[in-house]
Amino acid sequence: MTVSMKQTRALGHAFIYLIAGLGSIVMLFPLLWTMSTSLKTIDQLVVTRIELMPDPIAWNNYVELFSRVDVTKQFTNTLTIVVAAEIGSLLVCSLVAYGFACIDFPGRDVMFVLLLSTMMLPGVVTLVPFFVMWDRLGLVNTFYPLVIPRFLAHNPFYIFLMRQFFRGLPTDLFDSARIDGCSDFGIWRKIVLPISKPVLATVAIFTFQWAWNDFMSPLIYLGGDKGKWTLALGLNALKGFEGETTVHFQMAFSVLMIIPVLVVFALGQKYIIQGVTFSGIKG
Amino acid sequence: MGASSSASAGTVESRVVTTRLSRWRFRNRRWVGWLFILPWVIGFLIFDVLALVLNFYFSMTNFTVGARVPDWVGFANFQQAFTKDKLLGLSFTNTVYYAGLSIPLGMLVAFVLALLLNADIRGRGIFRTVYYLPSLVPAAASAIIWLFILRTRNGVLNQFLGLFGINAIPWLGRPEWAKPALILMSLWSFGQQMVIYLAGLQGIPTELYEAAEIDGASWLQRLLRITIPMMTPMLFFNLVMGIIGSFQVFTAAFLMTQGGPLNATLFYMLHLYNNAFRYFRMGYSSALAVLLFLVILTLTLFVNKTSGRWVYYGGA
Amino acid sequence: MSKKLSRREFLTLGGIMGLGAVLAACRPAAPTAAPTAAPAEKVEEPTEKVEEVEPEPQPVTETVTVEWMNWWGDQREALMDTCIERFEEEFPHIHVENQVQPWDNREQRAATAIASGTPPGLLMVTRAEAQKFAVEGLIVPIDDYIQIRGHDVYDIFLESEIDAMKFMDKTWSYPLPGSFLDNTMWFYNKNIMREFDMDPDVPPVTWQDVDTAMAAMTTFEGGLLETLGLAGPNGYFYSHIYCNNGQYYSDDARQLLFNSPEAVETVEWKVALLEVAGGIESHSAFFEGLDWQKADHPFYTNKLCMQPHNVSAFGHFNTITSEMYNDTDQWGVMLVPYNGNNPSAKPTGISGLAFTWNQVIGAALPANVREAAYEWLEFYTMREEGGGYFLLSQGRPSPVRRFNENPAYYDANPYWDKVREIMEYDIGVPTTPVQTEIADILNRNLDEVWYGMAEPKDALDATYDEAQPILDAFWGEA
Repeated sequence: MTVSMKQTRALGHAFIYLIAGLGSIVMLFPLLWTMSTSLKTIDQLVVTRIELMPDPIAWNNYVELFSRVDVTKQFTNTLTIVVAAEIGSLLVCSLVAYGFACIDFPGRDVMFVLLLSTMMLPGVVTLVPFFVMWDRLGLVNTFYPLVIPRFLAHNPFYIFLMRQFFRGLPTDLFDSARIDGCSDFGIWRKIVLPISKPVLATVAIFTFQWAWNDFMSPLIYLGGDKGKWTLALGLNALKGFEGETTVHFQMAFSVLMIIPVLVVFALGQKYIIQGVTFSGIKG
Repeated sequence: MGASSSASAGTVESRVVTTRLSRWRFRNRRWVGWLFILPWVIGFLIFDVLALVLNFYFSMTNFTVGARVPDWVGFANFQQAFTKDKLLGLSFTNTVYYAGLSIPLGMLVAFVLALLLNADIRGRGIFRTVYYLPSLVPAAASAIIWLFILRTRNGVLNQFLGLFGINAIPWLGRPEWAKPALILMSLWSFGQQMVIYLAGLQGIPTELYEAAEIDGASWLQRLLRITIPMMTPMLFFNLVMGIIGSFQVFTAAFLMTQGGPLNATLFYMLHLYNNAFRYFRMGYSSALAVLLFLVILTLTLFVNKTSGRWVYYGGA
Repeated sequence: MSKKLSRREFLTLGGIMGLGAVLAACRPAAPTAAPTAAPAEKVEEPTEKVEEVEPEPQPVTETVTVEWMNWWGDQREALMDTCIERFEEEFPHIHVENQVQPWDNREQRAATAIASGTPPGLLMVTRAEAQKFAVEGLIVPIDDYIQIRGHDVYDIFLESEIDAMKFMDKTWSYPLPGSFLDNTMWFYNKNIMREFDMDPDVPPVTWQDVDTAMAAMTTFEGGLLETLGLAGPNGYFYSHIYCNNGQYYSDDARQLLFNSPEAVETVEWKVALLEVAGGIESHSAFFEGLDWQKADHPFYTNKLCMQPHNVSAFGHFNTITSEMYNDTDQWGVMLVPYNGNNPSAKPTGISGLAFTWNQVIGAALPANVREAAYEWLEFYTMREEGGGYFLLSQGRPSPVRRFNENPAYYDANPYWDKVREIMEYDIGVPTTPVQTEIADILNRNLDEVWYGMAEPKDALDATYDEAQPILDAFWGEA
């Protein structure tokens, strides 16, 4: 590279740092406020001045939270649902997405539009009838209403996303595999999946986040059995309705809830940026 | 062997192989496809078809609370929606306003940031995490946080604007500022879109960039000729999801403004919810749901139709 | 993969249904647990320790579980658990499950719960929801129990509160916590009155007095409100209308009366007050981010004189600044003002139009569960160690007349006598299940008045035109 190219690159990088840095402040501020609120005592909460630094810092809030809310139980419950969701998303959704993206079967376009259209119908009205259905099956207060749809790849968002990614892959890959006599399932398993780490990691992160924070379904189907509550329900139950001031506990709980998702993101991120090489596949 | 189409389509022999291959593909691939999508089809038949049928059915009844079979009323709900519902038009325009601004702005911000954070700078992992963080915050906590930020007197946002000499804006106090406030709030959580773009950017073979650089292309030309076209599948995705999502905007308004002030943030879904669970008019809400469904479907089909022209699928 | 799952799924479903069938077959034919005469004594002597009374000759061996779905979360959960403990001691064959719910999406949770084949034994809902469920036959009335036990509900409860539990000539619940003292009682700050040379021992009595006080004590600084005479002049329209001898609903709840000349006059009065405060935005900015539980609420900082309140206010007041709370020189409690220019107007409070909790019993339950649910309901609302204790611990008055005589209240509240006096000014109003819709229409139109976009008379007429047909439609069908 020439000197001027190096300079341009350095300038470019500096520019990026500037923008990204400024933006970070905007992004982080609300979260700093969350953390700071979580460490305040009630006296500090009842005033309306903006004070980012709590004084004194009430680390005890987090400890007290555990005695107010059965965090461990809710954690395991949420984890159960999340694991089921991840299996459903990564395995089943990718199979379905592969079908939509790489196989030209009759009726594919119609089915794809149907797939998209399922996301367009607000679920508000069918809430009660579906509840009644699960109720008649006797599956309320169990995890089944939450887990079964996920195993049936009932998530058009992920299917759609993966389909877009798969369609963007070069056809030569598939051709060379087929010449070698590979079945579609084999292609899916040996070629597409390894290459699709970016989108798989993305879906894994989103699935985790979405299942982790899901509130409506657990409320309706698990609300009656406190032993089955998920973290989202536990967080909301802290609200109370004439607000004994529990904002600090709510914020502390929120912080605790964000951490695992962040960890998953940090881990998954590596796969997203790993990049893809198309060369060297079956000669 | 990159997507630069240099290698495979070269000789006559390979062209023959490809043609034979495509015939084989065509004949044998039919039913296998159905096997792959079978799990989803089962779920679709059990849940979605049922949901669709129920919705259409209820929209023609006076369904209310409870589980008894309601009375049939034909198109009366739809008639009422168009002639007697004073809030229908308003809630719809509110939603269109919101969608019209938040979709393009969100896509733009997410795309730009994805480009920036894809560059090989140090600490990009940290930046990415920081930008993704807001989309992790549960909606309930988000509402509290933003109610605090959007305060008129000494609110954080207004203090920030004050640094530039801008007077305090009554964000959630005046009807004309309430929607922009919520749009601003939605931009804060663009992290999810950004991650999708990042994944898509990784799918672009580096050989393309190398070839372009050798040919002496500037960064702008690389952006316009390679990056954006190769990203169109993801742009299409976020556009469609944006349409589907913003037309159903609900939570922030529900938690923060309850539709006010003066119904400025009464979005279509909020109006629907009020009818369903506050006024017990489930049949009427179903009709509203059906109408929304048709609108979103039409828009999406339209975008889908035109996608043939601007979306480039590098492979299949 | 999906095949394996559906087989397992199928087996599980089959297993559950089989188990359900077996359990259903096992349940014995419920003996109508006769609510016989003895319990009447319990109510008359709430302060004495209740002796174990066994009215039923048949020993009930099987435990009945009552699911009590409620939204009394956080600290109140502990109070509720204590009540349940006491109840279960007395009724060992009944187990009450305290199902406290998260607050959000309450309406959806309640709607799905009542639609279930096994609804909760006792469910906490709003008045409109209770009425709606009643119309749909989803809940059972408790009149039979009242009759058998011989309760004189008008003697036990405040009239307005028990009336709020009635609909279609049947009673559906007992009140707790009740919705009285909602705007009937105003707090006023004596410090600020002295600051503006007003007599702190003579709070405003009529609307005209309020006008004077408002004009005197509202000041601006730099274009923003500095001190304010009355908080929320644009609120509680439905209540103030009665202080001008007007009415919201006609007595049979078939006619809306809020576009009468008295009502228009009420709105005009409020608009004038709002103008003194600089308009609705100026007023909102003054209170932004501040509520009664914040230490810099203008009442605590002596920048506000009059604040309408409901019963939960005392507890919060004491928490924030116990020093000011106990100092009767600094603040007082006054009765809601009425229109002095209208010779027929009297101070009146409204109970039951705003939020009123009903506790209702699901109809789809077997008879013995319903009986058990009723026992719990009665204990929870009528007994001093139940509802009495629950409310006393929160410093809130009880809808049961007698409980308010408890000396503990006098200790906790410097103005308890005044509170009890003011309670007598509340009256109940009838409502219908379409009340929520009507209230929303009214608020929407009134908002335009507050924002200066419509005239009071036009807004009220427009509301009437839109809302009366809805009410008519309801009565047409009911």
